[in-house]
Amino acid sequence: MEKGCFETRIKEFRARRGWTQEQLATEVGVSRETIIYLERGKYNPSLKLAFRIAKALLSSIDELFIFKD
Amino acid sequence: MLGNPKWFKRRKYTGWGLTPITWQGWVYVGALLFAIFFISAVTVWLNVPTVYQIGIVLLVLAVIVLETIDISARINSDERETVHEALSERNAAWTMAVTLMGGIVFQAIVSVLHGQLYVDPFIIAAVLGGVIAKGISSWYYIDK
Repeated sequence: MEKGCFETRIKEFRARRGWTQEQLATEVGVSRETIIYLERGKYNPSLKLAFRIAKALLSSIDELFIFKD
Repeated sequence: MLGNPKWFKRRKYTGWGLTPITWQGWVYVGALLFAIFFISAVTVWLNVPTVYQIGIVLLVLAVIVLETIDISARINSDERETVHEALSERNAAWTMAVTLMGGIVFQAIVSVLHGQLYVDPFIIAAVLGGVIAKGISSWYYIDK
């Protein structure tokens, strides 16, 4: 299984909103561990989860996730 | 059924099933164990024939297994946990399949050496059951 092929700016956008990882996790309906993995770029989220995170952080998917080929 | 999914977590490292994480969960498990003990005691006290005693206890155990499956299905896990759990289940299934196939080959060789081919039908049924489950799952998830 591919372990992540992108960098994310989730941490940066989360900090802008003043949210903890726990708050973001609750907002998008995942565990805090999943947010940790996402921020480290070690988990490829589904499109649905990516949209939910982007919406929660008042951002867009292409702003949050930077694909590394 | 009666159990609340918030009382339990799924087992991760020690097989399948549920582990209580709240006092309500422990009380619930205690109540189920007491139910088995109580029903067994009543059947003995009423001199119910042994075959029926076993049948009644098996029925109670079946209800508990169904309850466990129901609670497990209602425990929320996020998509990362679900994906990783599925990978763990796949690895478990492969390990069991290889072990069962090894068992079939071993039994076949040993029985032939003793003059008559014999393989435990439960092992064959387990392998066939796995094949059928994989076929149905593939049809449902991939083709449908």
